[in-house]
Amino acid sequence: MPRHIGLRALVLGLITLALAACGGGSPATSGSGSTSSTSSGSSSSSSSSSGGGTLTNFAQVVIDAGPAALNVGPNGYTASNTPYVTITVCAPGSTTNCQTIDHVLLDTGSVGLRIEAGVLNASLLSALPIQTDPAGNGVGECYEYVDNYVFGSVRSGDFTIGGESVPAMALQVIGDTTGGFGTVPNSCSSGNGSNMNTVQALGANAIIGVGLGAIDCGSSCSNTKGSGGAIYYDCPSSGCNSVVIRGESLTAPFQQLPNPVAAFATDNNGTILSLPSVPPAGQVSVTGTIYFGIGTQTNNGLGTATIIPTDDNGYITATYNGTALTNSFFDSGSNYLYFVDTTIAQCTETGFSGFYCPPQTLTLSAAITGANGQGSITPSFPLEDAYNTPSATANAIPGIGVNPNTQNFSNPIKNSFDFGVPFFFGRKVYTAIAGRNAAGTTGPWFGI
Amino acid sequence: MRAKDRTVRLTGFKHKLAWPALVALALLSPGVARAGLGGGVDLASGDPARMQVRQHLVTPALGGARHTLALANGGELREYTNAAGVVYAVRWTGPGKPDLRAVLGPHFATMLADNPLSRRRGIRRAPMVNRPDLKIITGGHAGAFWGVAWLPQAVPAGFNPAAM
Repeated sequence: MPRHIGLRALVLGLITLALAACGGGSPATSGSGSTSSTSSGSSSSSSSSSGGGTLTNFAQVVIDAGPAALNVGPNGYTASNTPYVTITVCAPGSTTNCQTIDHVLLDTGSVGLRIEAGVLNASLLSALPIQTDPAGNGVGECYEYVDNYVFGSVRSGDFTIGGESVPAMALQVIGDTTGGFGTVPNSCSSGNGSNMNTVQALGANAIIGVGLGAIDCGSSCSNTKGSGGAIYYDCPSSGCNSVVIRGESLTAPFQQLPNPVAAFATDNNGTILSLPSVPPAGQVSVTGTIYFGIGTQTNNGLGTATIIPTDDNGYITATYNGTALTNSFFDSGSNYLYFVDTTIAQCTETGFSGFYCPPQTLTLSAAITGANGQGSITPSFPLEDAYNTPSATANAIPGIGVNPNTQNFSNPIKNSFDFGVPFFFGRKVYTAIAGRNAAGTTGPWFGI
Repeated sequence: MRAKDRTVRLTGFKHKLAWPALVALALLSPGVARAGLGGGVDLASGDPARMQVRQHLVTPALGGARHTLALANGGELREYTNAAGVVYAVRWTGPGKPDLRAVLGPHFATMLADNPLSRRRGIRRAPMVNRPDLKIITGGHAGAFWGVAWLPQAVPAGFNPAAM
């Protein structure tokens, strides 16, 4: 039987090869003005010549083993199907107090830039102003993902990715222990899960949400309606307890975290994530491109893509095996395909509960329609044996699917198809931001 | 301690419901000691940061009742009670997760235990619980979450989680 350390190690939580001996001591980030010292995907600036001039509205995306700090210690592991970008953050107005941060998780399923406190140089962290509320106290934030949450301070920093930048952008410092931010409020943790306040917990040095929303909470946070995707807190030195109202400004000074792309001066209506095809055995690393803007430059046109408007929740409908799954979506932050199909064999190996292991690679398809029936396309995609097909060293693997209910769940809930990274391989996936006109159609919409 | 908790919850509720409705709600399950899944329906007050109830509708369902709580943030919480007033199933949707510590009661700890952070290594799967006496399925993405939870030993005949 072939050895498949890569995927197996992830699933089993085993200690992977002692690569930490080579790079465990080096910082995941580098100082001002320099690019990261890690190997692939570290180029933060991008440009290309094209027709009328030099385009800078894009950045390189890499899918590899993840930041060095991921594979350290007894709980070390390597990343799987996780797209990363490199960004630069500077103290507001400074060109010297800056830090280039590699392995920032590129997430088209969330909104906002959130950086692990432990990744930031002390000199930069202290120079990123903490946002304050009307009481003069710092502002804290709880932001929820489907599995866990992040809690920390809200600060401002000058942000750059590729050739695009945002001055004084609101961002979150996860796990900030400054002042009263060190303790997670009860009302934050009551949404379930844990605070992803380490690189190993998050799986990245930072996460950049470039999804369908222009800001990360909206009206739930600008009124007193209770939590939206985020909960903002009043944080005196004694701790964060009271919820604080934050407005919906789309320009600096931001009160809620913006989608960094929505905050750009130009190319601010959405993104296109272009990832290459990957052979069934997978690859150690692959590189792709994220383009900023849709239909704003010569490199980000709609082409032959179909526009699929989403509903207010960012959902589309995927009809799979005759069932209309109305809570479906495309998401680069989901590393596999998550869907229920009780007719496909599941892996029986220890630790692979819920993974699909079809005896032969299948070609699946789903009929996709947008809100109000607009947009219709039936893409096909492979599903392979998650245990036997991937090679031992692959970090980018196509065709891996998971039944989110795991096997033998007698009452499966079939309402969602989460098209994660395997679906993105060999495609361009468009994500148009809510309220922005992109290629003649106002977002939110997906395009494939 | 229990009495104090109840006072806090009712105080939080006062802003959302008229007093008659509040009294009626409090009387609904006089014999059920604790709140949450497997307990009484008055759990719905929860933490106002996550659960501001705008409207509470009670409709018959499977020999008991379905409590539909419309939340101010646009979300919704449904609680299904049996004839004794015990919550045997819940369903939530909305831009933020509700106060699951309150909604799930003692089963919140089980959900945490079955979905540790270490489980996230390399796979980002929505939390779930698949135990003989507790089922929880969740999903969605940032800004739009959903979930269902039920107690298989407590559900009435004809219960179908997919139809919640």
